[in-house]
Amino acid sequence: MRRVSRSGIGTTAGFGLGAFSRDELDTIHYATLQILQDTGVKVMSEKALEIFHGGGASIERYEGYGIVKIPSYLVEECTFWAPRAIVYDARNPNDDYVAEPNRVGFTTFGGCINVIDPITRELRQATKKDCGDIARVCDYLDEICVIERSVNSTDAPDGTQSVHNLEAILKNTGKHIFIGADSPRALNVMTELAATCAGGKENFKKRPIFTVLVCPMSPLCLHDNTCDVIIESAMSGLGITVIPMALSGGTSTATLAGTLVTHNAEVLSSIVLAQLTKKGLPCTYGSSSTILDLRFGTSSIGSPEFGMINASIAKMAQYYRLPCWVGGGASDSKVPDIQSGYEFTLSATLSALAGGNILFGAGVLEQGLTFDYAKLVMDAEMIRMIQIAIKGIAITDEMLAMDVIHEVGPGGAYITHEHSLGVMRSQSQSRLFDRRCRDDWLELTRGESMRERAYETAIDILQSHSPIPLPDVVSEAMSEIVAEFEEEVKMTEKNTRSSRD
Amino acid sequence: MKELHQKISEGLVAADLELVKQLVEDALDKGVSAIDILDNGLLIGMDVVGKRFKAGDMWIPEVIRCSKIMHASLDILRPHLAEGDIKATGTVVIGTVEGDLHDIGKNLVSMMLQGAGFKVFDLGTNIKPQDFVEAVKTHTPDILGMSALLTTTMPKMDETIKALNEAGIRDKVKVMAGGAPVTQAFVDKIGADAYGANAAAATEKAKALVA
Repeated sequence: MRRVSRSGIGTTAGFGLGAFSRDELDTIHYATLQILQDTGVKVMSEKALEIFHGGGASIERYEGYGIVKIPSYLVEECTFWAPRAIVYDARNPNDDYVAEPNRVGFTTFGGCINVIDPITRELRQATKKDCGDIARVCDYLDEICVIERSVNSTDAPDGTQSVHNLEAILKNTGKHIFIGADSPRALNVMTELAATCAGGKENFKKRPIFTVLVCPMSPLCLHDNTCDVIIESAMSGLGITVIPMALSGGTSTATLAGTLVTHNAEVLSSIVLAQLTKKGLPCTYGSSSTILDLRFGTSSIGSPEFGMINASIAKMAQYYRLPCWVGGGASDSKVPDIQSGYEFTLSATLSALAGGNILFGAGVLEQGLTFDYAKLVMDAEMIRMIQIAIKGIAITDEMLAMDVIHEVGPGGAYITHEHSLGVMRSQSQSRLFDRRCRDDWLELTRGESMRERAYETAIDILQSHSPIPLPDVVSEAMSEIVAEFEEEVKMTEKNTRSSRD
Repeated sequence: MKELHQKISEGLVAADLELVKQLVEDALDKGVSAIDILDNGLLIGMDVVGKRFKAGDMWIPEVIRCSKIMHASLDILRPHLAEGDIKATGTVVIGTVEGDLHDIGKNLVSMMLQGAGFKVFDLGTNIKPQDFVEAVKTHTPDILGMSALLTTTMPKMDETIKALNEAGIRDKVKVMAGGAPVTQAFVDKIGADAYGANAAAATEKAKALVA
């Protein structure tokens, strides 16, 4: 039989989500332009006000802040200046992450303050060691594409935590890092730390191994620290990811459409500031938005709305042709239980189908307050399943396997056919999830829950995985930089205190 | 010689048909006895296959391919095997019970048993209790294996054992039952001798029954 080439048939690669029509996306965009032009953004940094003004925005000055009104041409132009597809460079070049449109990768939730101890299973404050340990587990897991600072080093002094976080993470992973900075000065020190790891300032400039997370304050505020960190990042050539937390019903409209508009305005105004500071700076369109549960007063990240908002934000990022960082896979449950599994899957699947480039949410519980090692390992298993599902079913001659169907015929067996042997490894494979028959499951697991096996796996990884090593001299140099900075912060505080007295 | 045995078992595990056939012929040329090649080469390889399958490292189509290689090798060895040699493992009569046409699992068990050196008479599907009885009389196997996928056809296993009793030959044969809905509790209830949760387990149980 001869099946010759087809010409010009329509194909769709992968399963996807058509959230909005072009007209609807335009509507959100125009609404955002109107907000930026007429309502404006509250900016609390003098430096930032000057930059906005110099770029063509109008400024209304008040005591301690200014209202910045950005003309639409400036917004359009600045979003166009930001690079389209970004490669996030990694200390280990094998882990460089390419964020082209609709490539879907996953990482953890960020900024938790508690962990469930994997050994005692007790809830306790997260430490610098946890920050490094979680990065090490993530370095091992193929399902995690980049590293987010998952927990804060709450055992480090105030004002130095972001520096401690980065030191712990750099020592435990070769993957690209997304991390916030406590202050512009802390960002300087972080740049120094990373440059030490990356083989000097020049190398670091060519391949920046971390991206700075910056967080506008919803609704429509850019605080002085946020602005100054954006400016400092831009001056150092460090890419930024803008992650406003619009809470529908709290810091944005209780309607989700309005939330998308103010969220968008917050991201775009930050991008304008970054581009006016340095044209062409890599900017990732991000989010930590969700709803404020108006019954309990909690910021719910296990709700369907978390998935709906973040899938929509992925669509907005695609509209501006920018790489994106959106939520997917978070949970409100207090323990790694059935609720956390259901919640993970709904929002992770929605954001994945929407084509978000980096989906954060793995490992998190309790509205983002608590991190759990078992949940991280279980989530990685589901991430693998979702990544298979979004690939969809390719309708090609090869995949239709018409010859095989004819050959096997009615009543025949495919299991014994060579064709099955050739393609079988493309099937999804479970490791933690169990697909065995009951007897084998019982023999293998003694009937223990998956959560127990997940904790064991996490502990195994911690004990056995060694990330791409850093030379001893580098580690020592990093420790010195951190110690010096700690001393500096202590002195500054002392001086501020004595000048007050 | 030990090295050659090892190459045969490794070739089998790697599912390399041409290599194994060549190695088996080389071994015969070098004067290694057929039973030695079987016991210390091929069967050791099939043992590894069974273990890897159980661990989830080898997949069903791979196991089937290894079994096919085992059969092809046995075809080469058969003329060289002495009269008593082939009875090495045992004889099995196998089939899917009356009213049930599902045979993927049964075929797999059949193949793995053959891989482990059993002589298997596969009756096919939709086998009536009386036909099982006749086959046991004809082939005098060590083991009778019954398979069912449907919960509605499971009672036929019970009926078949009763038919064996009535024919007075229940004590002449060990009875095994299998299939997705079959459990140890069910097997105990109908008075069968053994059950395997999957093809690898069934092969292990069968080996134990004839040991």
